[in-house]
Amino acid sequence: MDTSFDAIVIGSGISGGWAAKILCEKGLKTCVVERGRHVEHIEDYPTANMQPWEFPHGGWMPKAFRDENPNITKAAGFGESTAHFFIKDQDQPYIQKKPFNWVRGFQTGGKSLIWGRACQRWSQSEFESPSKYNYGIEWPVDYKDMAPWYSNVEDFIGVCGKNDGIEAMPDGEFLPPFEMNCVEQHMSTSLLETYGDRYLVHGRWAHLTEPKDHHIALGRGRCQSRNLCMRGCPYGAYFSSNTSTLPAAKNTGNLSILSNAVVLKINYDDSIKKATGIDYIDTNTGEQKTLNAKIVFVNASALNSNLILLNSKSERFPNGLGNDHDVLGRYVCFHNYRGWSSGRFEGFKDIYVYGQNPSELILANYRNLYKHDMPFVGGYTIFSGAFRSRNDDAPGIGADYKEALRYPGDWRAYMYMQGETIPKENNRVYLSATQKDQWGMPQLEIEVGYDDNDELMVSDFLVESKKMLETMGCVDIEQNDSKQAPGLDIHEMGGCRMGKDPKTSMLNEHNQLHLCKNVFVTDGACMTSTGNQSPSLLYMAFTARAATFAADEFKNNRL
Amino acid sequence: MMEKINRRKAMTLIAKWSAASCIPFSWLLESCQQNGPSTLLSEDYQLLLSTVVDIIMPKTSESPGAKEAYVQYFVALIVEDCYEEEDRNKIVIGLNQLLDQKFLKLSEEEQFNLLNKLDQEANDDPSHYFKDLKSLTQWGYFSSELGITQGLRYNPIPGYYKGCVPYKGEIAWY
Repeated sequence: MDTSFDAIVIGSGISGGWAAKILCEKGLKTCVVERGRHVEHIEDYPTANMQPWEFPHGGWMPKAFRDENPNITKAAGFGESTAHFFIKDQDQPYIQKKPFNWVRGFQTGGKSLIWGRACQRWSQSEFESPSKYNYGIEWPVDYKDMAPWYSNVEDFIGVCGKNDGIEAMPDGEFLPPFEMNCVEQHMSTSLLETYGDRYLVHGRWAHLTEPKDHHIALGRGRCQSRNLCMRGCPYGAYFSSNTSTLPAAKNTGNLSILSNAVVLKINYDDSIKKATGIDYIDTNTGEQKTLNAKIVFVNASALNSNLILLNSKSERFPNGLGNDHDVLGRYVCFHNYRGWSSGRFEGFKDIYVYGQNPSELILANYRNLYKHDMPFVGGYTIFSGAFRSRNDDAPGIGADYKEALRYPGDWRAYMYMQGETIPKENNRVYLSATQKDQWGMPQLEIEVGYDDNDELMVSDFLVESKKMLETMGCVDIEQNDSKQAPGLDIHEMGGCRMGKDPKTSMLNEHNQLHLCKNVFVTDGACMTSTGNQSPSLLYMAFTARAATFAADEFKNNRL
Repeated sequence: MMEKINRRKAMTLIAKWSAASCIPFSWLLESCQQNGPSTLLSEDYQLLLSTVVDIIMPKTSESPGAKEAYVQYFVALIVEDCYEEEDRNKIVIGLNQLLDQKFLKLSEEEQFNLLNKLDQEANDDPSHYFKDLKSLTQWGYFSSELGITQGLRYNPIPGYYKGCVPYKGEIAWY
């Protein structure tokens, strides 16, 4: 295999796939370095077409597995049908200075195979509020800078949704949405009538409801409403690197994929002030090897990108690449998913649904939008929906009991929050001084926790969601603050943040290390703040934008 | 296909459990001390479980029963593979009480009345083992091929989603 490339992309997940696609399309010989095994679209989705009764434990993992893997077992979507797309705990040990459940997927496509698929754009309020209201530094980009890249990404990946004209959640390039069911329509109308400014709208989700020619050309097809997405979709109907960006990159003839390669560090040459490539371990042989390139994209997933950069030590950068000021690894933040509410409807007994909706409704953020008038800073998005399950509660035993269970039960509505958290200097990750993993890489110590702002936001959500469910006519309302550890949101962000000022940030407006211009970080590590929207779409937009910039710089011999 | 995998798995489990019989917790399991069955996958427990689950969810003219859907097998796999020791022991002790009461020798009516009494006890006591056994039975039935395809309506590939469909008393979708 070649050991010299125009560009190296570390990681093949949601953002790495995008870097590969753009760089390859721009003519750069690109090597994607993936620490996990290779997963080929469709043929490596072993459970995709399994029937529910073919899972021996109804989806639950056996106790022996759970005892050995207490961390990954807690991940959303993890179970008998999806376990092969998540790591096992021993695959990469780490140290929890505070409780943190770090969810990872080591394979071609990374976590893009098992992501939640929600794709809202950030509002300008999310970009400007942290610096305006003193809970973060200024972003070096704003909504106007990102809008064309959002459009580019939405069109390519395929996002269903509706242009609702909401300030908190800008419109985009959408395929038709999954329709609301009758009860959801009632919920949406009743909220708008009561509040005037609470918009419960169709989810914007990365599914092909009506594929375009360019989707079909890549072998992707229409969603069949099975809602078994996280097993890998045999129709290629939701976006993953495996269905979309990597095939597009491969079609250029410029793509190489190196699997089973754990990156140890990015090599730096101070005489040219640039990175020269990477050192990695071939996990099949245990050998350490080197790859060279003119450009390095770091897309190893937020915390592993931090780990690699922290471990990229040189005489010039003894504390990690580009880290003269001890900003690297700090200001790690996440999304607050603790609050959950649900209720039961007594009516709507004469309506039902057909098929499974793989998306959810979104109640756009209504807190601190372009202002600060709450006891906390930041806002929260609410995911919501209504469903009618099989009746699971009947009295007695015997024939009547059994027959009653075969019919639909009551309609239920639910709401759960996705809240902004504050980037804080002391929420951080760093290298263990003593503990290494099986590849000789220092283990990551993770010290990330909640604060009072998070508590106030959870309380507000619980009060408001109860009122809203009551407004809609729900009874028997149940609520919960899960107090789940950070990490289970799988929205860890920051540590290598963007900013205008090199003294307080790691990356410039092109996701380029201030102090090493041919290294770009475009996954969750780059985030300056968290906003309240789901972050993957923004990572993709940042990556498309940065990779286009990098390719142009490369062609003009500036990298 | 899966039936084969399950059986193979069952054999492994039986071997494992019989090798490890009379482990520290086994004092709870009277039958173990008498060299009796030590896993719910063993023949004696399977006979008992298949009778119990079929009384909870019997065959009717409308749909298959739990026994023919192999729910006894699902219950045993969940309890043996997935349960915490404490929860497993609670179920096993409960089943041992039924064995002690010579449950399988009772008339059908006596069997029903006995389980019905346990169900009423469980209504007043959420920690009663029968509450757990009943919900395992329900879960197992609606996770089985017969339960899903004949007890419910099932379409593995709906093709599209329709949010508002009139409901006129049909059976539920899986």
